[in-house]
Amino acid sequence: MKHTLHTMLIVVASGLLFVGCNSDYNFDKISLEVTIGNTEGITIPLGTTEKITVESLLGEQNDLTTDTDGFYTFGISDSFTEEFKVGTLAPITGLAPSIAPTTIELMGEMSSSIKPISEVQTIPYPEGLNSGITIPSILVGQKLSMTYGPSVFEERYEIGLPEHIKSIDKVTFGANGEGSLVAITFNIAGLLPVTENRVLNHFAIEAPAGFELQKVPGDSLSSYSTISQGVGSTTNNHYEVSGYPINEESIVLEFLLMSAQFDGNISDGVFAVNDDITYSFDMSYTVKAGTTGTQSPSVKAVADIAIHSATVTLDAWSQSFNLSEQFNQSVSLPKEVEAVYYLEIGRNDIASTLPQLNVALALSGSPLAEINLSSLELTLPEFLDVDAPDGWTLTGNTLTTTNLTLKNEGNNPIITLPLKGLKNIPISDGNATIAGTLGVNATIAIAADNQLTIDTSAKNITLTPSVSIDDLQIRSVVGRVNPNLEGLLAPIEVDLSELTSALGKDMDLSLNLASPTIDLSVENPIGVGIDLVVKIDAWKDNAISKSITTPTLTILGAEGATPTITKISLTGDTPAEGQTQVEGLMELINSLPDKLTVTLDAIPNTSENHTLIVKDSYLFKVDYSVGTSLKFDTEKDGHINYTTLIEDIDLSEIVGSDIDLAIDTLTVNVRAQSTLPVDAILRLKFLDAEQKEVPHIKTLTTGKIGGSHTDTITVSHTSIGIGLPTEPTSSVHIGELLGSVKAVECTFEGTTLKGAGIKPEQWLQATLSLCLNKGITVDLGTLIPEKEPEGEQPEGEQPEGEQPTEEQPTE
Amino acid sequence: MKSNKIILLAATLMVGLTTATAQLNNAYFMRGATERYTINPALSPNRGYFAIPVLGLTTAFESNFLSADNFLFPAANGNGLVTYMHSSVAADKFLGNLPDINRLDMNIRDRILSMGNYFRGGFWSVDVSLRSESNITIPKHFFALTKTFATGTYDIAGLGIESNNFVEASLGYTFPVQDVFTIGFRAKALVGLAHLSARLDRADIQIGTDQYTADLAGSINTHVAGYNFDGLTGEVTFDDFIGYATDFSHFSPNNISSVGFAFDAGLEWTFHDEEVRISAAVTDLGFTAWSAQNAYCGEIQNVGFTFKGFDLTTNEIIFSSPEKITLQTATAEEDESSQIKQQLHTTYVAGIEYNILNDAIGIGAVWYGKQYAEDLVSEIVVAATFRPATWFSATISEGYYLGSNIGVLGASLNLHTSLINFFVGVDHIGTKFGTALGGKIPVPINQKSMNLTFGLSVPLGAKMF
Repeated sequence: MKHTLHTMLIVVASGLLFVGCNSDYNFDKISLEVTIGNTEGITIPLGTTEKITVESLLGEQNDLTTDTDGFYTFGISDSFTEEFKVGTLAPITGLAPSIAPTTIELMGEMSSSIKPISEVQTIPYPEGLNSGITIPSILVGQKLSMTYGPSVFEERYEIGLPEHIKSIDKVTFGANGEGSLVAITFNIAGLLPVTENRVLNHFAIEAPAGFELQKVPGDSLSSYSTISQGVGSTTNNHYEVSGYPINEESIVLEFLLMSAQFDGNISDGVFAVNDDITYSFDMSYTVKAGTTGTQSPSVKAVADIAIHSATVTLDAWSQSFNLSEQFNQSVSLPKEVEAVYYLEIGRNDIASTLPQLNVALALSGSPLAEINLSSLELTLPEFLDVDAPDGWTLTGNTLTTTNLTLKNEGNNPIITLPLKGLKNIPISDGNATIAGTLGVNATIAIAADNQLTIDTSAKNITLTPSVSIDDLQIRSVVGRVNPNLEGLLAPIEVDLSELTSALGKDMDLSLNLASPTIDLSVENPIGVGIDLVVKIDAWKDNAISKSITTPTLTILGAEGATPTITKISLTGDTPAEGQTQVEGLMELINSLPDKLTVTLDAIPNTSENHTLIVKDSYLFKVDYSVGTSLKFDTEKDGHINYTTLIEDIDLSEIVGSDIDLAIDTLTVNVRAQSTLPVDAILRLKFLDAEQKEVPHIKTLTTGKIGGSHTDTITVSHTSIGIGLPTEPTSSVHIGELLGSVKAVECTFEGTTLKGAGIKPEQWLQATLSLCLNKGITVDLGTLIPEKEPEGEQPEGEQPEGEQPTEEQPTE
Repeated sequence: MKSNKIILLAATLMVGLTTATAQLNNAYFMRGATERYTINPALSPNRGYFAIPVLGLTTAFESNFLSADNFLFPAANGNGLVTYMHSSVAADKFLGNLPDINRLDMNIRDRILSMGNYFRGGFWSVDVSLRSESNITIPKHFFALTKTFATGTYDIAGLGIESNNFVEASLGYTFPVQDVFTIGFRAKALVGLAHLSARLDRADIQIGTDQYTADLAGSINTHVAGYNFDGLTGEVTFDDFIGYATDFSHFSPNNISSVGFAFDAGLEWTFHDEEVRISAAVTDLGFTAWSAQNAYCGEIQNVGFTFKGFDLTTNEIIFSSPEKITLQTATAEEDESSQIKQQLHTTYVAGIEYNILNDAIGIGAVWYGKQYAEDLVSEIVVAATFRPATWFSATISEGYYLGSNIGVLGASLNLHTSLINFFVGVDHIGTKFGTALGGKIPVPINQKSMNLTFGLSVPLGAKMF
């Protein structure tokens, strides 16, 4: 048994030989302080910003567009108009002079030597019936006849004719042309006692050939009488009564001598007329027995022939006349008109139509329907500018034409002359005097062999000229015009605040934009050239920060009614074709002023004649634009310094305010992707609720973000070191410390890349992470509530049964 | 009913967490111990026994990383210990001690009914045991992640847990041949109780400066005896799964269909007047077939988590995760794979023993080779066995895992009187200890594995040798 025990002890002891204690391992004291990320630190992603594009930064901007290359172009354009008032010009009315009519004697009176006719011719007794002889009985009851004639009543007279009558063709008789009554009385009173059954078989009366006879209206013998053409006559010159039973002592045979056609020449203005009347009769009767004739028959002719008119053939005739009248009218012109060389005119009612000068001649008193007018000369006043109408020849200021025909009714238009303008109008006290003479010279003529019916009175023709000119409106003035443009073009205010606010009001900018330009487009409505000097004042903070003045620029005058547009491009860079370089413009724009004041000092250039379209007012229109491509200068650096405040930050929620953490150094890692053409330095400053820098948190290093010169993405890895306090203890209540951070001030100090530019789609995106360089140390032991010592009342707890008083409020 | 569910769940977890198989290696040369019979069926105890139910317990925790000195370090100021996450512990120092794959095996074998006796020249045994074999696998990157949290990608695929729990019923027979050989056989019938395999097949965790991401995919295979999981189809949430699994209405005793079979065989050759003994055995040569009828297989597909910091406008955390994590139940075709035919961890044993001093002291060495899938983990145990009396023996051993030059101390004690047979033994005794509770309790420092075998049985019959 003893041996067994010994063996057992040996076994146990030998086992213990392999066992040893390590005093370094005291499991009673195990620190629960753990450090996460002890080796390389711990990196906590903070997040990725949105892709911040330039477009989103700038917001919606009305003044920013992109050019064909996609670069932002800033441009403000606007226009304004200024009215240069002249006043209304009254139309020129009543310019035409009034010319008195003229009367020209065409022919004198026509006369005649006709005298009244009263002639009795006794007719011898017929055979067998001698006067005073008793009729033998053998004859009684015997039918006898009596034939007589022809016998003639001779009637000769002369007609005195005016001059210029070549021949007389026809004469109309009667006071009013109704014919002259010729009465032939056949008296057979002596036969009555001795005869019975008397029948006038024929009583023929015949005027000379060419005469025209006509029955007398109401003639009692009308049923027995006839009028017909006589032998060899083409006219009804034969009057005859047939078969008339004679019961009265006498028979009156009446007819009207209507007219007579002649074919005879005039000799010394006298035409001899032969209108002898030949008569004959034939009568039959029965002789009474036992009677004795006592008296012979007779024939008596009574007539009072009057010439009413004569149809004549004229010889050629002409006569010249000369009419003239003065123009003299004063017209008010704008005061700016100093001299007038020419006034372009238009109709007052239809301005686009040239006014017309109308000359007409009214012909009256002419026995002819038409009269020729020849060698017409129209002498115009010198101030009129016309072109010769068709058919007219203009020599100097005289218009001539060959022949016209004047009608003897109404006005005969002579000429309708468009008036182009008025020349060489003298100006005195703003009034233009329009003066001159209008003359009309012509010859009126009557061609030969015109047949004319004239009466006995004299014949005059009256020419009444009439001149009319449309009311004129002065459309333009050629001369020297000196408008007072001083102060006319108000200063232009170009508000650039949108650009500055877009890029950040708080930015410290020095962009050095490559090619700022100011473009002006000036519409000059007057024909006066303008010398323009542009002064540009840059304003910043309500004060002029910089001023520049351009060289004298030429604004062309208008040609005609359309304003002339002169485009001016001012550049601060090397000028391209058509541009004017203005010293200091680039610096002025690059200073990004709040606004520009552009003053246009306009001086008329009166060294040359101008053409001024006359209007009540003139509108000067100025289109302007201020623009620049947001491209950076190729030689100078630009700077964009921008500070922004990220507010409402509560880092305590992120880190956790209830845990004590030991942190030495924080590093904010930034992985920035950028296509912005800006190299930038990024600074952070941590601010408390009062916007004061939080003590103990200092940024140790700054971040650098690389820019992209092209559109490729530049990725920059940078970090910003942030120092945290290590004294008095390395354990910082990080939640409390970071919890005091309420805002982060971010400063962006950018240097623009030379020659690059800003595009809307350029962007910057940052991925942020927080690197706790030595990790996070947490004592997990603090998370385990310590066991309260027995008998000790935890602080703040009230003993059972005791209620807190108002003075001792419980938490 | 609810309490029953909780008990079942707790039991399942307990079994899983304290799983056991295990054998006590240094008991190999203790002829009075009934426990060595489980190592080599040819090594029958010197008399019959009836094990006190439940009290025959073997537990084993084996790992290749889990030791105190791997996770606790002396403080730089000499005042106590600090964890591996303390800033004074260099990452290389911590991680350098860890293998790429860190595995913790937890095995337990509890004899519910065990008895054996000699009959007609042979030794017959009947044994019913509850066996649980579980392991946790942790990739080294997991610890690197927790220690450094440095930017980079951490592949922790393979992180998982597996637990097999079954009842083993065996019938053994050992018999001598020509007096110098002893041959033993044991046939085992296995009835699967529960199997759980949860594993991350893909687990990429990326710590970046911009974001943290986790890309995960995994699978779960579960077999519970008598349970029918047919009610789980399609996408299943974890709540659905737990609710279903704890609903006993899905259990039916008639639906226990996961079975297995195994075979142990051993040989002992004694010569030189029985002073020299050479033996060899193979155990657990067999498999467990986890039936598809009791299985649920699901996959977690492409689960991603992303932490991107904060919305810099609203300060809200930007964290994206699936609205719900669901298990995609395997389809009918895939269900065939849910019938797992799981090879047991076959153990090969070869030993030699030389006894001196009239068998009072035995010096021996035994080689263990345990098959883990494609890996054969070998251990050589050198033991000195002391038999100062016929009723007492003790063993001191030193175990060597191949590939490691550090020996592991073991010890066993066996009282095998005619009235009682008591056994206790451990294979892993730390050689370095710290102190706890004011030095009252030593705490092993460098011990990565631990096992304990406890046996209490009543001897049957006369002593045979």
